[in-house]
Amino acid sequence: MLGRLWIVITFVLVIASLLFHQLVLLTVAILFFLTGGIARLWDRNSLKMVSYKRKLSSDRVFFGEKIDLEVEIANRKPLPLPWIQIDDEIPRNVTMLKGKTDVSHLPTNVVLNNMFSIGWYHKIKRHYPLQCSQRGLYTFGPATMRTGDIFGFFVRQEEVSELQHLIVYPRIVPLEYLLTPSRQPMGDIRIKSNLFQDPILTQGVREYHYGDSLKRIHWKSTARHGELQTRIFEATTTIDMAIFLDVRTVAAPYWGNVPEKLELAIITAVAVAKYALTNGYRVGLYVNQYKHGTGSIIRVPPNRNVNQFKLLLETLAPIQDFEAMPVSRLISNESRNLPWGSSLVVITAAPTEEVTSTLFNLKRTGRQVSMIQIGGEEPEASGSHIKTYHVSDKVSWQEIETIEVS
Amino acid sequence: MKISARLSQINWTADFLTPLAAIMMEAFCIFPWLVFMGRWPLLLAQRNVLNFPSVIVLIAGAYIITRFFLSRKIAVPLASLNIVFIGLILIFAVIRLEYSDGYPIFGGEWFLAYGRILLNVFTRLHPIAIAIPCTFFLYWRGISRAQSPMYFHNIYPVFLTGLGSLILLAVLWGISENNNLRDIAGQIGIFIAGYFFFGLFTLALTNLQNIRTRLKRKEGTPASFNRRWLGIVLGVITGIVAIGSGISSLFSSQVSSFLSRTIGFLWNLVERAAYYIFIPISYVVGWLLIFFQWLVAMLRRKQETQPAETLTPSTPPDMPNVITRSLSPETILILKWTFFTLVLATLVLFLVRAILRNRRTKTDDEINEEHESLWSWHGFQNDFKQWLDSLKNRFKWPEKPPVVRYDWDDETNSKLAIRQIYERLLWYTARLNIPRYAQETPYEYERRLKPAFREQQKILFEITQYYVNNRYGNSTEDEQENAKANALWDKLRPAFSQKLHEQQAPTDLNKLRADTKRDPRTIGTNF
Repeated sequence: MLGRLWIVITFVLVIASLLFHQLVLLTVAILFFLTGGIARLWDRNSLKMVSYKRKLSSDRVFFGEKIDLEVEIANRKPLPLPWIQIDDEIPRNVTMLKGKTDVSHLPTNVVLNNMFSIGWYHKIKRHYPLQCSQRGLYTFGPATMRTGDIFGFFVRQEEVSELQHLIVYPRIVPLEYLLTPSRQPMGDIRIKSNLFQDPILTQGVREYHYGDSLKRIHWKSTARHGELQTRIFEATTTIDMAIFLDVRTVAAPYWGNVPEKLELAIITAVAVAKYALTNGYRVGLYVNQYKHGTGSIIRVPPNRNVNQFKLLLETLAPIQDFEAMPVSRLISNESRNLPWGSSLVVITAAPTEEVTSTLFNLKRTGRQVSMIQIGGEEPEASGSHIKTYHVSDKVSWQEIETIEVS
Repeated sequence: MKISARLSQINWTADFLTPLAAIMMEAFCIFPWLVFMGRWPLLLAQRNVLNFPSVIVLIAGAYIITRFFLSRKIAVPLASLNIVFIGLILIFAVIRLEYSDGYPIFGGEWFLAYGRILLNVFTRLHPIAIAIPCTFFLYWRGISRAQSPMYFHNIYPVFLTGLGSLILLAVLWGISENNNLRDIAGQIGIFIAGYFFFGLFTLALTNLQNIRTRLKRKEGTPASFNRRWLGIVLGVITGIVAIGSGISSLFSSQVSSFLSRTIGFLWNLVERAAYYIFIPISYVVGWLLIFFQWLVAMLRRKQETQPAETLTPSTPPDMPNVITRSLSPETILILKWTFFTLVLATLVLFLVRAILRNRRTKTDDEINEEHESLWSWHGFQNDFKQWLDSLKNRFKWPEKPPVVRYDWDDETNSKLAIRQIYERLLWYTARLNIPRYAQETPYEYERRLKPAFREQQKILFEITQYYVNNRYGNSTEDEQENAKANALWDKLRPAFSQKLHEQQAPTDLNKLRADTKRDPRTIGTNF
């Protein structure tokens, strides 16, 4: 309001009122002073003791779930705020079921506009239902608070840099059947026959045969039967499965991506991982992409921990469509660290000669390898002896009910 | 249904409240000038050129007419023609009513009389001669208000111009020698108060419109927002005007008496409004009571006349002896009341259902909002105390921060950290009038020091290097580095000390040494 002239004008009016003996001028001066003073009081103090918070009902959700976004504004001072506008950055892919949004300077975001009128010592909460219909790692915020005096002379703004993160897991659909397993000498999964037996798991006893080790004699049964009895151990194995996910969806040397194929590839990886974990496999995941905010490749070593599936989902949620290195190189690098006998499953939408030859080399060294091709033409039975499966992309990934590998 | 839908679509703030406030602002600005002009000694009759309702009618009429024709899909020249034509009729009507002077409305005498007055206007100035151009000006103000959108940046200059014109008027009034003018000087105060009230209200409303336009959600703001906003704005503006008028009335008995007169007038208005509202309601209630009385009387009459109709003395009925029982008056009364209650309950039920349905549809569309009060007496006391303290501090003379001086020259030989060495280096160079500037990097400073310490150039460079590595490098200080730095410092320090002694008088140094001494280990940890 007229900048610093405000005080000068008031002063001049007071002087004029004294000169002309005019109370009317004094009234104008007082009203002018009060208007300017109150406007400035609001301008200086409006954003003091004002807090803005954002809360999500859950920070990890499954695909398609609904969550609640709660925004809370509190004014902890005796000065009411006739208006306060809050522009909050919200991810575009999270659908807002209520409330209106505006375009943001960031292409991945929209701006949630909120306008409040808050009294003194007052708190207002608003709830917005959100539909999570796209996997990803999303960031809510930052927000900008803008307020001012009631007349619109001054506007003041402040940024609330606090961020909230939300992970939307990829879609989980069942898989038709399991791929070829690998075999470890010993492990947790019972198999029909094996060269190696687990000395901890006793299957039963039989009569002693010449040549049986004395260590295998079951002495209690021997005492009971009156003749030597030998323990029979169970043949077991541990199956390791390493899933290699290729984020490239267009065959080299072309650049670009087919989001539908990438989503289908991720859903397939989830389905394979879930199936394998349910059936006792130790599952690991390798993606030819850098981890968010780091310079290291996405790598989850094989494990059968109860949290492994959650970890895999969290790893797959933020995957984007840019590759850090060709998947063939990733396989070569990572296969060295995998246990002997583990199964390698490569999921790719753009299979190349390099991938095939890398897998062939690994097969020659005794690894169990297989490849799942996403979309495109169904692969012919090739002479490379690499088991190749095909997942059709004719049905959209949003509507797919089960992953059918053929 | 259509009417209610249309009503719900109206943006009351933008389409009704803001223009009304703007019109009132204009009226409160112009009317004092009309009062002032009506008191000119040159005039034939001393009266207001136009009265306040006429001012409002002209501006509001022009606004409504212009908005109406601009919203129609008609050619602009045709719309302009309509606006001008209706405007002329409105102006004539206002002038005719303002200056009726007892002439019959549809008679020709008024035209003759005022025609004559207007013909002699240059010899005998009549207020109507000023009123006619003023009506045109007011009509033009209304048109221009309707044409320009009600944005803050449009209204704010108008507010300032109006304020300036009122100040000018007050000055003119003050310097006027005319006694008539001096007598009514107190009257302008209320118009200034009114002008401020409506002006600030218009500014606040346009500010709200600006925000809403920015948010692109004219219909989307919750009802609680509008209620709260309006409450705060009206409270603040009324407060400003009341405090301003109150303070100025302390200096003038005239203004205070005028204010009390105005408040009395407003109270009379409220009383009259209440009278006009409650009288029809009381009539309706009275009629309803009469109707129910009549209904009750009718029902009672029917009961009483029933036996007389059925029996005649000539033809006695040949019927078995049946005992007929008529209903008692209490039962009839209960039945009537039950019927009445049922009808009323049905009506209330329908009404409640309609309201609930309306509310449900609204809440489905609206965002869930929770309100919570954070008020506590203790918190308020603390805030108030804090505010008083801040006010007190504002008028406090700022204290000079204490200057802390250290005398590193006195320091006995001890093992120092690299940062401490550099701190001491800066201390010496500052006293040798070569202080390091805030914008200088250590290397830049080292280059600037070179000419002053030609013999110690290498040592200076090495110490700087050690400091930079330690301060900005991602390395921790090891024993070997520390020992080397200390050895270098032991070589450099005597040179610094000697130069300092050459430069400063011994008395000054002693004074410096007598200043605050602190444990050197606690100093320089920030380096």
